[in-house]
Amino acid sequence: MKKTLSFCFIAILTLFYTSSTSFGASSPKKHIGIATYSVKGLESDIEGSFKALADDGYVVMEISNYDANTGLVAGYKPAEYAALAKKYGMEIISSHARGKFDLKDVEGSLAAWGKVFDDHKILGCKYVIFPMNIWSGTVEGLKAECDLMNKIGDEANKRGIKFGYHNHHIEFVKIPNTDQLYEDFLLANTDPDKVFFQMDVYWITVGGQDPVAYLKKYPTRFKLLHIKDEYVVGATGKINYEAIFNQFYKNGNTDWFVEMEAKMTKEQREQSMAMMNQMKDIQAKGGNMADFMANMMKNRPKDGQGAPPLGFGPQDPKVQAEILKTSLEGIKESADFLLKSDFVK
Amino acid sequence: MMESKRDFLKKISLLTAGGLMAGNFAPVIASAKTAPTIAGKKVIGLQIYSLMKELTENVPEGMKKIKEIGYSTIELAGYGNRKMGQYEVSEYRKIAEDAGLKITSAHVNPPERTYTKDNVAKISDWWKLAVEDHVKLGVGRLIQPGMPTIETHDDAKLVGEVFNNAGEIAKAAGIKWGYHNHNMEFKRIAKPGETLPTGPGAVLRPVGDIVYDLMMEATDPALVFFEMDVYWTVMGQMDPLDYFEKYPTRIQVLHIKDRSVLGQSGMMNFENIFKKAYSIGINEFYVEIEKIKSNMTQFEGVKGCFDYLNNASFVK
Repeated sequence: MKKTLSFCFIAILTLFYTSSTSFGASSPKKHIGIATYSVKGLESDIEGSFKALADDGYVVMEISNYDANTGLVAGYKPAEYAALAKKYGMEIISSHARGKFDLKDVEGSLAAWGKVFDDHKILGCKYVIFPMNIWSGTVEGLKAECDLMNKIGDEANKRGIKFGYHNHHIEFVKIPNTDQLYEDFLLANTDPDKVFFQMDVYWITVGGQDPVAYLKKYPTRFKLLHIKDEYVVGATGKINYEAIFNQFYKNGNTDWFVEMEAKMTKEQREQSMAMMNQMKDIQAKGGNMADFMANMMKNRPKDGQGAPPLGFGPQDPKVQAEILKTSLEGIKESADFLLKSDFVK
Repeated sequence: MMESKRDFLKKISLLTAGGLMAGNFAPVIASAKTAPTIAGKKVIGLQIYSLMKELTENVPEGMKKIKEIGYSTIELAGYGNRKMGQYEVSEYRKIAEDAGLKITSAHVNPPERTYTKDNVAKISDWWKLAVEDHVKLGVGRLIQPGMPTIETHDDAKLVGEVFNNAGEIAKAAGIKWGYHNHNMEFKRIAKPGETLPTGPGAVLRPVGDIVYDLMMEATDPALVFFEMDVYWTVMGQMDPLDYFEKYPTRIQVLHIKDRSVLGQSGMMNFENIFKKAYSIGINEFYVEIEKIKSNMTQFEGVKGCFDYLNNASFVK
């Protein structure tokens, strides 16, 4: 149980500090994408992983291992990492990254994001996405945060990059003392030319909302998707992929990425969801990222390290290889489901 | 041709005496492992709550429309004060049967929402009357759709006892008794002795027990089955398939429900749901739809649901 808590604690940490990674077939390929966050143990064998992803049929990638402190991706310079993906016939078009997001230091925040965008311009990727935030619980605070989002979007536009925000389920709770959901406020108070949205179809469903309804209501705002399920895409009783893809394409979009967590035991999945729901409860009251992280550290499991979570942290290379192998197997199953679905173009 | 109510009821009681009511014959109650068919037609059921006042404002006409759409069986809602709205229960059954529909299930709630040692006898008495009335309606299943208060493991235990008692009463009359979920049943309550931390610093939390699973454990499989509403299960953040896997004999009927008209939202994977359900022997299900928010009438929505299932290759 303690190991599981440690695992989940570190997994949640990495959600926030994420900086963790053409052989074209002769017949026309379906345009399927992979978020490399899904590849647990990626950095233990990047080329092997890229080859496997390309063989699966993936053609576009979203990375999550850009390190804002060093400006590197898995130790590679951005251009080199992009070239590595290109070597295997895949293009990195999107990245989950974070820079400073602090209302008390707008200048510093914009400078930090500016550097992120500079590096991503070199990488050659089109989209940079803020993966998760804990938002203010007041309308005034939220307005200020949306203004900052717009300013960050300005910085991105200067570099020819699109800046976006990715949802979990926490954004689908109401802002305190209002009838408005956080996600709806963000959509209404960010400038469509400066901030786009990536819809995670799993998390919005967990949040009790309909992905298709949002795609219909905001046809130009959601430019990317995370195609995600409990684990392998298409394996559960949740999510209507056909309706989602149909509406997404109808809105004029083409790019989306499979995202998967590590293969978890039932206990790990329950603990992970319990912790995500705790974050949802925190968002329901409103807060900010700095406080959240400080509290997390204060309340971390007393037994300290435990086993590193699957795919994160330094580990025995044999263990890493096993984790990577398992991860790639699941990723291939997701690719197979999407490739054989006639609603996927 | 209008006959007097008394003559009408006399005719009904003759039919009753003739033993045509499935409720009196336990062996007749379907426990079929094969999907029921009516001359090659899919047997698709409807929870009549879906029609709201579009049915209750004219029940005989409404029943005919349900049949025209293509439904074969109906699950009732709206029982109260020993009647179905303005109708005596036997009258109501006749109206359905005249329209060519079979009443196979019904949703009823006892008046109490919180169970205590002091009111269990009262609840039991209420079930005795409800069962009596539903024998007359001819249902095979009698289902409680409303969740009683469950805040602790002790609450869950007492609820289990009350459910078992209702199950016994129903079983003696040849009816199966069951429970239908919404999403609240998937909340977690702390294990005895464990406290769920609260406050801003409480990020890591113990997992606790899911109320739905406690209800399963507190009830006797011979007395209580479960009707899983797959939409509410997803709204409860759960995967119906996980529950089919975990309780393959307890979950015996499904509510096939979506955000609105079946198959149009992004939330449900009905193909996987049906495949898994058939694989564990479930073949009875009822469509349900809430108040439709667009211009569509409830009847139009209910037809849209029927058409979706009738056209689906994964529905037998």
